[in-house]
Amino acid sequence: MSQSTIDLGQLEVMFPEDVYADVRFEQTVDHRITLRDGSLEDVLSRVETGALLRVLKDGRWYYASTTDLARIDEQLAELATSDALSPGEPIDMGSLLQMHVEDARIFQDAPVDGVAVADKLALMRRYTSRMERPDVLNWAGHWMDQRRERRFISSLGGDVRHDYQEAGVSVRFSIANGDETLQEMFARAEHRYLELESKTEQYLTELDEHLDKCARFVADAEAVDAGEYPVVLSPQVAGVFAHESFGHKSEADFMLGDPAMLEDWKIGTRIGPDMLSIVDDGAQLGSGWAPFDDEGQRSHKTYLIKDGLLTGRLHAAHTASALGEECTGNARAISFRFEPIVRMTTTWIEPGELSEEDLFGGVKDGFYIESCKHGSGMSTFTIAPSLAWRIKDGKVTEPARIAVITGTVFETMGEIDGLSDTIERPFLLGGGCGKFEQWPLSVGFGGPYVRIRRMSVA
Amino acid sequence: MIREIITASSESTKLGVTDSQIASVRTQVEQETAVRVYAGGHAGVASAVGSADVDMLTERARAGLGFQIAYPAQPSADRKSEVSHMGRARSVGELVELTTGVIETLRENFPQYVFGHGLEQSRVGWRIHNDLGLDLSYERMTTQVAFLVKEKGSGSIFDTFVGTEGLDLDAASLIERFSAHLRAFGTPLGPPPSGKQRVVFPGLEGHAGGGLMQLIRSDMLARVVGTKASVFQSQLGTGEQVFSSSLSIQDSRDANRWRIAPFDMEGVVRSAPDHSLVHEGVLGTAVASKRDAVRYGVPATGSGVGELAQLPVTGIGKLVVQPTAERLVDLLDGQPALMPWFVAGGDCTRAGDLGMPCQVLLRVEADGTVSGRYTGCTLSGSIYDALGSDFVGVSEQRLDADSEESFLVTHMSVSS
Repeated sequence: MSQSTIDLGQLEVMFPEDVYADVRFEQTVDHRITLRDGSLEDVLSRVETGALLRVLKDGRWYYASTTDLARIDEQLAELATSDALSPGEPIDMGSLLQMHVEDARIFQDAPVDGVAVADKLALMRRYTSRMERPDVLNWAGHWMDQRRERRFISSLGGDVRHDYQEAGVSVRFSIANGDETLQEMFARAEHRYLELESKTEQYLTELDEHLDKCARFVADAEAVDAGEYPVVLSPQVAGVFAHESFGHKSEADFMLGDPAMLEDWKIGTRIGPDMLSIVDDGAQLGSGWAPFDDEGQRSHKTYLIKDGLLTGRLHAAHTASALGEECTGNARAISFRFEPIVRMTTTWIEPGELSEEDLFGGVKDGFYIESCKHGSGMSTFTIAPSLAWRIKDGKVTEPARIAVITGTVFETMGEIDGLSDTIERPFLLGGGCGKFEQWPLSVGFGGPYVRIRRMSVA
Repeated sequence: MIREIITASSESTKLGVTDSQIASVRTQVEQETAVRVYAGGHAGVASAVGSADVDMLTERARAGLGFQIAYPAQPSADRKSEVSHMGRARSVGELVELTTGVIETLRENFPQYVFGHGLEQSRVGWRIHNDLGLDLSYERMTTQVAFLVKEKGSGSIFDTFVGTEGLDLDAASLIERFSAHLRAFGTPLGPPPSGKQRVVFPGLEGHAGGGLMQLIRSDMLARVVGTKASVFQSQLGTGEQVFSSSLSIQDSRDANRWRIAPFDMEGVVRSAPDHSLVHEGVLGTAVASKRDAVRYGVPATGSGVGELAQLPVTGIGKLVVQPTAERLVDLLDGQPALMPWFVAGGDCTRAGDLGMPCQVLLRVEADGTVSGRYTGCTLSGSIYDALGSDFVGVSEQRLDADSEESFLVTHMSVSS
């Protein structure tokens, strides 16, 4: 099943004169294995090699995505002669971008595509063997690994290479008790195959515990009376909250052309309580790993909120230019098919000072949201819980069937009244963030346990 | 060994709109080729993006047979067809002219909003052919326009959206439709009436109407039914009236009515293009790919879906609810109603309980026009009620002249 790959370092580009231009080469190698209800369903192996070309001319961008790498110079020349758009505000890329020449690849020592499919299948079967229990009606196990390398070259002299890889297992299953069913999943992933393999026993124990918990949930979960309650979010759900409720609002492209919003979002504006800090950092290992962005800028830790105050926002070159701020290393694209836009990397809420026991102990009658199917963060923030539990007198008790929890984003931020003192950032297998037409982008998120005084529960 | 070759090609030109003006042009050209081989009840597949050496792919697919992936069905055979839905192809200059005409007018008439995203003209095509005389191809060219609309100073990443997809979009018509929405959106009405209200869903796609159909999409699949995990398990095959007798839902592959391919990813052309999922309120049969049909002992329904690089799985394509009235106004009974235009983060539980947080909720007048925007609210109810005793009907009238979506009218509970 081997397929040919090429050395992106050997590719050369002739840039047109008098315009800013860059090329992002990309090569991804994917393997996916699907086991369904005990049968091997599919083995997929795919190599994609392509490039996204950009030319900035008279303040307007001209892009082309291609898999024909032999025609890069020709296509760049065509883009440079385009005049389809009327001129816009000039963008001085030379003053916005820092030129890096660096090979930042870190996964060459153990490429996941070098592991035999048979070994991956055998490891995966260890997880799916746990589905052989009478209350699991059906299941689908997925092995996914991806190795991705990008090389960014610009007419200003930038030349950076970096890589990303992940390998993991996810199992989706339906578990039943009588007529009641629950559809849930379990996933674990690491950057390296050997890391994943070495943690197998630990992860299998976690899978067994998860299945038992789901069985209890489906047997005992009761619908809740809709209303407002105190809510504790798990680190995973807190991460969804940080990403969806606030992170997207920190992406500066949403502020273009809106001076009123810029005024409302002035740096220093109070957003939440003193205990609240939210950070984005592409240099954090995990599913949001992006040491350089797709404009060749080095990622770094950007505080979006620090001590409850608005501290920063995320930029690509064109938004930094428009708003007179600095690039933050957040220009990202899901693949060579698309131009980079402002995106998050790994976003999390920083820890507070409460022990978990004290955090839950502060809730007399509320809910603990352990996992969620999805979340969104427009003016109203919404989470669709999967596993949720009642909290009574500070103790997590019986399972609760909740369709959605909602709250106005800024009111909810203001209602945070407790953060636990440790954080978790789960590795998200296969990415997960969507924006406009670009989905899924590999991102990470997480946080501590977060206690919110009141949210609408239905 | 039987060999099957599937190719997909696409070409697109997108004009990116930022801050209410065209800021970029992007062209994409891509070709993907997949080879499937079948032998001894097993299948192997290999694919490549870009230029492809079919012989090399065949060898890789043949090597994949070693995994012994069960494929107990026969590949499709002896059928040839070419279907296309080709809209107008504009040059980049013409696309710029179209987009500029729309965006400049909207910017001038609605200066309180910032418009983003853009317009894309795309041609997609795929072909599936094999050693058994199968040769099916489909091609479509459409233009899609979508503007994310942000109210200046709102604090939201965007506040509403307008858009459509069609074979030949017309600037004047787009301006008229988008302006009607923006006028309604810009007319605040305060909180919506509470309690059970008449609700107009603008189509079955997206977060609003999609929520209504969530369990139909997930639990009318052969595998779910075959493993007795469907929420409809106890009602399937009983003839029980589960939903309103006015409700009929089909999974359609009717290329004469819709801009869709008449075949699935296993090369199956249905003898009747519509598969009945619900007929006059009674559940029909689950959909099944050929492989799942054998595995779960149910009839194959031509419902293989998936990427080229994978072996097809069972899935539902275009969901269509049979119209019960010609016009939206015929379903309003002379009364105003609510239209959830933008629902974010809603969900439907396994028990069928719906929760739909509405970010944009419009008032629909008795004549079918939208007139204002209520403050956000949550719509809730059970799908068994919303598609049952509370169901009013579906219009033949589409959302707009280019749309393939109809209005679905029912009742749901409103809480602010």
